[in-house]
Amino acid sequence: MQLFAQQVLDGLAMGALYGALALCVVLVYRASGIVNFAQGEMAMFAAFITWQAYQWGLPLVVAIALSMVVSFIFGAVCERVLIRPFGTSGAAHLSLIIVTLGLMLVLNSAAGWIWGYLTKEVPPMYGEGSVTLGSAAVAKQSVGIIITVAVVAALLFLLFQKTRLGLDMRAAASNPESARLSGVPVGRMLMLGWGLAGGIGALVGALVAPQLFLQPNMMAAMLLYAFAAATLGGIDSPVGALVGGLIVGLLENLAGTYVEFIGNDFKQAVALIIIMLVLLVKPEGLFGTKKVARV
Amino acid sequence: MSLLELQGLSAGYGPVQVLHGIDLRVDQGQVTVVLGANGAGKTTLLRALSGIIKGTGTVTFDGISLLGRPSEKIAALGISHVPQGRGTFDDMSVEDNLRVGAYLRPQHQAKGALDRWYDLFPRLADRRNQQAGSLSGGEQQMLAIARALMPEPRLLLLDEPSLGLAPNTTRMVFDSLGRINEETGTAMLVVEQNAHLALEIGSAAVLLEAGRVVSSGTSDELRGREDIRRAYLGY
Repeated sequence: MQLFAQQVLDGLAMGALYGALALCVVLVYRASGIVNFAQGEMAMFAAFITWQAYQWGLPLVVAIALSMVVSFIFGAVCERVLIRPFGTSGAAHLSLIIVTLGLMLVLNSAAGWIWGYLTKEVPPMYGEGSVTLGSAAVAKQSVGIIITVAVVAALLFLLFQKTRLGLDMRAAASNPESARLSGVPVGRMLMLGWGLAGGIGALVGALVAPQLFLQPNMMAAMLLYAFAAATLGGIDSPVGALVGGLIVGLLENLAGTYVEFIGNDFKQAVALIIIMLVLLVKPEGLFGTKKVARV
Repeated sequence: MSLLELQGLSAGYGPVQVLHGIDLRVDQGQVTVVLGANGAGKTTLLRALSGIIKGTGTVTFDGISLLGRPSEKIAALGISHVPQGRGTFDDMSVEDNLRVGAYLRPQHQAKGALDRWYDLFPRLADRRNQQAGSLSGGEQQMLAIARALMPEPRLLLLDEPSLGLAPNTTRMVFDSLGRINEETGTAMLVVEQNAHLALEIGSAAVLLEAGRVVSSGTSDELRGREDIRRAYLGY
């Protein structure tokens, strides 16, 4: 029972990170209509920036904040420079996906070139040690991660549902042409979407680095889980991404612990199976919009 | 000076030229109807005016040149476009749709504008929290029109407001448009297949054929011509 509770909480913490990265994928999807394969590498690169700033003597929290700001700008610039030249009509899907794959490779090599391939240690933001919750001892970092992601999710919800800017971003995502005809500067909204994804990704990178150890290939598996989470939750639903992330994290952890032949080495197959099943059975995901419109 | 003046407007899609030198003017507060068969270039004309596609020639709105300006800048000048197929934000609520329409207005004015359109279209008020995509065709058209009017434009471009609507709903939409024109003095350029209804609210009309203006005049003049009556009014 104690093991079970621990596995559940660890699964939720990991799942919160999958969900947060999935959220980045969803934000970009809603803005540009594509899946950004470079989202994981952007977070990895941001984690290196955090590590570097920390090495230079900044407090960890400040280093993370700095990396989030840099990543926000980098995300927005990526949209403007790499994506926008293909237009905003969404007609160039395949070209855009290839572009993001290219960006993924560039970031991966650049990180290796700058910082090398030896793993670096990033200290956990919420410190070492654990807290006792009921019968289970849970790492402070895990609890911290769950709370942080919850706060980020709440802030995003407020942004999208309660502010004028959020309304305009939703409009730009829903129907770019109509938004433009209403005067909304759609290009700026798309840049913002990419920027937010970059910033949140940087936070994910910094939070997951203590566990995965920082090196250029750190996010490869993470991104796969994030895709599974986004698919499960519905690729255009921010809420879905978070819920999907929690479910994937739980399933992965419990399956790894209790299903013997999966174990630790074969956990990633869980992500693939989830993606396959969802796409076959309920392609729009749990919270995604199924395109039904009355005419 | 007319509110909107077109001289030799040509436009198209890539290598395909659809409009071949359109001359047209819309006066302040006037409703002008654009008639024409499918493929005559009516939709292309509106899309070129609101900057969705590029065009060549001269287009001035209140003396300001429009060509080459992005859509959002043209909207800011006071031109609202209700695109064909309505262009509502399907996954957003009715109220959010209208609030997006008020992008160009200070927020404190938006509230008053909302109430005004809810008064005019009570069915929208009833469904203010419903997703726009779940509305009926007529309701969506009303929403699209109300959204386009939120910024109090000086010129409203309407692309086939009757498309896909039942006859009595179409009648109701046109009645509303006529009333809006009378009350607010908003000039309108209406593309419409239902020539009969459109000419009722329009004071001037042009007939487009294969991307060229082949006739123009007052509504009564066009209605009086036998060839037009046969081809577009059906009697």
